Parts: sequence; C-alpha cells; structure tokens
Amino acid sequence: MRFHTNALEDAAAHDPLHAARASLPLPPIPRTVPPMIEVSGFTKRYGRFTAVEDLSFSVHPGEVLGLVGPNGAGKTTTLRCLAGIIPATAGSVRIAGHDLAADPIAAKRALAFFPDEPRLFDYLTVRQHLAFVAKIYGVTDHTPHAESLLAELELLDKADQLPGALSRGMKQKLAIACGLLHSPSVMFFDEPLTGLDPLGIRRMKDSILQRARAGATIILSSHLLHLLEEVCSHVLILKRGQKIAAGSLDDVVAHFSNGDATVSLEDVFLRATGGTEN
Amino acid sequence: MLRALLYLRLTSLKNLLLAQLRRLRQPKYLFGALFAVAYFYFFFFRHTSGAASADAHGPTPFSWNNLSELVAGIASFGLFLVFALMWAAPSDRPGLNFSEAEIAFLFPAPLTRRRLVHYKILSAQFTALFQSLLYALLFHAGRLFSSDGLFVILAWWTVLSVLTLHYQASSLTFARLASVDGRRWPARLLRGVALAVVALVLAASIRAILDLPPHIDLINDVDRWAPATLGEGLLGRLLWPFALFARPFFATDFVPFASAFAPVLVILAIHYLWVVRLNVAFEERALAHAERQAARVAELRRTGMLRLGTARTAGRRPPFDLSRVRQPEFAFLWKNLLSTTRPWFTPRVWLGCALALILLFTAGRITLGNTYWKLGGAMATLGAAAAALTLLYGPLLTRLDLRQDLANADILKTYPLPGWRVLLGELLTPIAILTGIVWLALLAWFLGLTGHQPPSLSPVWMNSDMRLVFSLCAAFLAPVVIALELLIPNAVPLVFPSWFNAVRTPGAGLDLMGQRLIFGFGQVLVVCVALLPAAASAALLVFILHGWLELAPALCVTFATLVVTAVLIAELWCGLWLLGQRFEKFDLSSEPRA
Repeated sequence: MRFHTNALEDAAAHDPLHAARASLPLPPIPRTVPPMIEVSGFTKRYGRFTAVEDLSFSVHPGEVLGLVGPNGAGKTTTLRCLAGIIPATAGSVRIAGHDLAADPIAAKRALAFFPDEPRLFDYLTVRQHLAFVAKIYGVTDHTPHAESLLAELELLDKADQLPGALSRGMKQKLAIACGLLHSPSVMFFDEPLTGLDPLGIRRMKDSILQRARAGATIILSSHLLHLLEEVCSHVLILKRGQKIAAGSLDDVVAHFSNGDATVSLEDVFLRATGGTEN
Repeated sequence: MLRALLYLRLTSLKNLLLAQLRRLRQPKYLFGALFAVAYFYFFFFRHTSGAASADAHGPTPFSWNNLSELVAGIASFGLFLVFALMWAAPSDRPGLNFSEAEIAFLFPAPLTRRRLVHYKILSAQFTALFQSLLYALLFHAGRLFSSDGLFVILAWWTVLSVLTLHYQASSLTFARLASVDGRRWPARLLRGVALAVVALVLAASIRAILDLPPHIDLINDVDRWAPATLGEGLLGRLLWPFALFARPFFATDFVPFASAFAPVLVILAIHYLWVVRLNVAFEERALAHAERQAARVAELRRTGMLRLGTARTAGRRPPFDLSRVRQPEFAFLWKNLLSTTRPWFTPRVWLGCALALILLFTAGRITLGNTYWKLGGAMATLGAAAAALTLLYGPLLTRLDLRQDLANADILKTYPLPGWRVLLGELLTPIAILTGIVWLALLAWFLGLTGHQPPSLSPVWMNSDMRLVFSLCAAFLAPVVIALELLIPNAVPLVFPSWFNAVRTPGAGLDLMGQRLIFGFGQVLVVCVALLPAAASAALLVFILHGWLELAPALCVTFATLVVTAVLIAELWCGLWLLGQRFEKFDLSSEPRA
C-alpha cells in the first residue's frame, strides 16, 4: 500500500469520475496557523478505571487527523470529550481558541460531532431536523443553505419524511446535513464509514477531503485503515488510553517502517500496538 | 434557545399525532382504537353523566367530602413513602433522562448545562399535564366536567410535577455526593438518615394503631380511626407537608382552592430552584442510561420482552446437566432457563421454598397453638389466590417461549426437528415455572387449612381428606392446563403475524392499547372455550359417579381428574401438531413489520 497521495493518483487513473479531484494536489499545510484543536494533558477516568491518560496533541486547519487504536483504546471517549458531550477528568481542551471547560458555548459553536450511528428524532422530518438545528446554533435564514445541503446529499425527495422511512445511508446523510448546517470549522467523525455501501464510502471520503481543503479541522476515527490512508494527513495511535504514536502520516509510517518502503498503515498499526488489544 | 427546544417538543408531538392518525387507515389499528375507546367508555366514562347529575342534586352518601380526611391521610402517607424511597433506595438512573437523539444533538450544541436542565423540566411538564388530564378523567370524571374541574387538574399537576422534580433533585444529589473523590460514605449516610425517618414514621404509625380502642376493627372501621390517627399527634406532624398536596383536591370553590394551592405552589417553586441550582455533571450517567434504554428497546422489538436492569455480561451455572437428558425438547428448557434474568428457577430454589412453607406451618402450629387458624387462614387465602392468578394470568404475562425466539425462527427451522417438537420444547420453560408456582401455592393452601375445618367449607367435599385429594389432583392437572393456555398466545404470532408484530411495537397510542386489549380479552376467551369440554366432562362424570353410582367423593374427583387430563392432553396434542405444521411453513421475512 502507498501513502494517501499516491492512492489518490491511482484512483484518478482508474476512475475517470474522480480525475478532477485527483488532479488537484492537497494544499500544503502551513503550521504557522494556530491550531484549531489543542489538547493538553487530557485524562478521562470512570471511577478507578482510566479510559484515557495524559493525552496531548494539536490539529491545525486543513489537517485530517486519523484516530486509530484497538477496541477499547479510548477513541470514542476521546471524541466525546473533545465534542463536549462528557467532561474531561483532567487536562485542557481548546477548540478554535476557546477553552472547552471555561467557555463551552463558544467552543461548541465551532464544532460538529458525527456519531457512528445516526441518532435522530423519531418525529421530526428531514427538513424539521435542519430547522431545529438552525435554531439551536442560531443560524439565521437557514433555508437556502439547508436546501443546498439536502440537494448535495440527495435528500430533497425525502425532505418531508420521518426517519422511520429512511434507509440507514439516508439517516447518516441527514445526520451529516445537521452537523454541517452551521458551517463548523472543527469536525469529529466517529466511525463514519461503518455500514455504508461502496458508493456511500466514496462520497463520505470526498466530503471529508473537500471540507479539509476548505480549511476545516477534522478528527476521524475508523478501523478501515486503508481508507484512512487516503483521507488523513496525520495519525494518532491510541492503545489502552495512551498515545503510542502521533504525527504526520509520513513521519509515523517512517518511524515504524524499519526501512521497508512499501509498509502500509495497517502494518504500522500492528507494529505499534503489538497486534493485541492489551 | 428556549424556542428551539419548544419547537422540538411541539413539532415532535404534532408529527406523532399525525402518524398515529395516518396509522388508523390500517384496519388492525382502527379496530384497536375503536376497542380502546369502547373499553374506556364502558369502564370509566359511562358513569360520568350519572355522577355529574348526582352532584347537581347534592352530595351522595359516598361522596369525596365525607371521606376527605381519610383519603387525605392515606394519600399523605403514600406520598411520604414515595418521597422517602427516593432517598432510602435511590435508583441508578441519572435523574435527567435524555434519549440518544437528544444527547447527539443537544450535548455537543452550544447550550449551557442549565439550559439542558430547563429543557428537561419543560419536557416533564408536557408529560405531567397529559398525566394530570388522564388521572382526572380516570378518578374524578364526575368533577372534571363541572366548575371545579380545573382545580382537580391543577392539583394533579402539582403532585406529579413535584414528584418529578424531587426525583431529579434526589438523583442529582446522589450523583454529586458520588463524584466527590469517589467517596461512598456521604451517600450511605444520606440513605441511612432516610431509612431512619421511614422507621420513625412506621414506628409512630404502629404506636398509633396499638393505641386504638380494642373494639375498633382495622379494616371495617378504617373511616373511624384513619383520619384522626394520620392527622394528629406525632404522625400527623410528620405527614403534614405531604397532606398539603391532598387539600386542593377537596376544594370546590375558588377561595378555598387558592388558600390550599398556595403552599403547594411554594413547595413546587422550591423544588424548581433546587433542581436548577444543582450544578451536577449528569452527562455521563445520562449517556450510559440512554445507551441502556436503546438496547432495551432494540431487544423489546426483537424478542417482545422488556428486561429491566443492565444486561448480563457473565455466564451462569446451568439449571441442570444437559448431557443427562435425551429428548431434544429439554435442550430448549435448558436454554430458556439460562435466559431468565434471575437464577431463581432451579430445583434447589423450589425445594427451598417448599421447605420454608413447611417450616412456617410447623412454627405456626407450635407457637400459636389453637389460634394457628389466623395465620393458616391468611396462608390458605394467599395460596388460593396465587394459584388462581397464576393459572389465569401467568400464561398471558410470561414470554419465555416461542415469542422470545421468533427473531431466531430461521435458525430454529434449520434444526432437524418437526415443528411440534420445537414448539413443545419452547413451551417447557413457562410450563415448568408456572407449574412450580401453582404447586407452591397449593401447598400453602393445604398447609394453611390443615387441622382446621372452616365452617364455610363443605364437610363432605372439603374435609381434610378431600382437601388432600383436591390438592393432589390440582397439582396433577396444573401442567396440562398451563400448557394448553400457553398454546394460545404462542399460536398468535404464527396465525396472526402482522397483528403480533404491531402489538410488540413499543410506543403509546390508543390504537396500540386497543390492540393489546383485544389480544388479552381474546386469549382469555379462547382459553375458556378450550377448557369448556374438559370442564363439562368433569362435571358430568362427577354427577354420574356420585349421584348415580354413589361412589365416594375422593374416587369421583380422582376419576374426573383423569378424564379431564385425557381430554386436555388430546386437545393439547392436536394444537401442538397443527401449530407445528404452521411453524414449518412460517416465513418470517415475508411478514411486514410495524
């Protein structure tokens, strides 16, 4: 397997529909821009059990950080704490320059969280979900943006349906539309590719890349490592709540390559974690 | 922000009602709704017009005004117990319950914790208002459509709102105490204080009852002793805050209502401030609770069983050694016993319960001597009631059979067993459990009456020997009757699968309630019809054997039991075979889900 830039070129060579995408190189990532996500000493404990311990990292605009690790490594716990769903036990988290603990409102205005399973209100239609989110986030005159999102995600003909009438893929699209309505600059995706068909996976990848190119800061957790290679610019490997490796994809791969030029992210993952969950 | 949250609640409610109305286009839901309306009218609202016209002509001998002090006293005692239990036995629920969708949308949203608390308080008011209307319709239908109907609704609303707020406050308080460095003693101290208060009130109650004059009958003269006992003295002072909630119910004019309602409003306001000011991190517990709830709903949809408590993560000791049985039906028994939430249904437990009853009987006879009858009478009454209720309702309520395994029907159909054997295997577990309960109840009935001949019982048909014969015959017959009763609810998903799927749909609605009522009544009716031939045969046989052939009652009952058993086994065999055929042809994937 190759690094994600080569994967894009291969995709373009074999898939003319994405020739335009592949022809555009990923923009250089200027690290002089302040990070949009700053995590320092982040720790999360549940009673005596430490789910995540002393985690520190930062993510800059335009970067896509892949959060990987075995089951029970603390990936979902980390994402939930960064999204403000549950409070951290110790450490600090800054989103778009705002401390999540001291100024959660301002921090949350800048972020969107996309859970692994779409959680929707049973008795709100697709349009009503967007109307509700617009009110929550204070998006004025949301209708044009909502309609464009529905069109982009091919949900216009389902706009007046309840979630019970939608397929799993459509529910996921609705959840994405709700998350994008307030134009967040920080996005957290928890296993976004689970349960999607190949077309859905391709569209999700394109959507993430497109938003990263537009300057969004993204953290993405997934077990599909070969797909992460195509999307992520950086990677953070967790195991049992502790950071095993972090950095740009090239740097992390090089660190675990042992001189092997064709090493994949999967090889890196197995070498870094010792091939076990414990 | 409040407008957004109101939008969520009101729009969801509107769409829910519209969805339920659209559902009525399907005949099964329309019939359900009509049946529910007829049920409520017949049992609750038919008397409304009569009661209203009676009020217009003056109070009746049993109107609320005559029993107001009694009801207020009992209601205040009940309220006290509910509040006390919130502190003495707190649940592990978070107090502020959020659905998974609410967590996904609201927790990452730019909302303060206080706003989330206000959202939950506001949501609870929708529920409290609906419940107030419902309770007013059920318990005060005569007053609801009169001038003081609003008083009744407001009185119910304050009780329900304070109960909800107090529950939230107690749960959040315990959560705050637990979060302080993980120390447990503050919460334990609080629970201890609550238990001490409960003990104090119970002691005061017992003392007050013991101080009653000897000529007062506790049950028949309750209206003579309860108002004074519960309203005066130490007990009255302890229960005074709770008695405040009962007073608005008895006001019939604005001024008395306002003076009774004002203190209740103050208590409500105090509770509101208490909950809002409790700045406790409830997010984790809410998240865990939402996930557990979602898992329970998913399992309910899959198996039709609602499990309380958290799912088991560890295996359990098997109820018996499966390698020792040859018939594959017992493998189903083994599997379904392992699936019970508690390991209570083992031979050791049954024997232990039987021994406990025998020890209770023995101890009672030794210690009470000639007055054993008071304990024995209660034991016999409870035993008879338990046996009757188990036979009547047990097969309707239990789910440890084919109904819980329907989601795995495709796997069951791959087994090298004919359909009737699969069905019989699935029925063995509820048969075993319900039979065990009936046997224990019969033992309690028999032991309770041992050594005593109540004057109300026939000395010919219900002497001590005949009671033994009846007990043994009933014990012999019980598993067959239970098996036949269980066949009917297990036939429903095979014969009416779309109705069965609709009934298993979790959710509210008059149409769903009506469908469940139709199922309940229908099953009772079919069971009665199924038992009719056997009952008629037994009655005829006893008449012939005793009336014509003059055989002893014990022989008559024994022969009748054998004949009834044969008839029921024949019906059971036919039913099993027919349903087995149906099961073999059953295609779950072709049935529409609700």
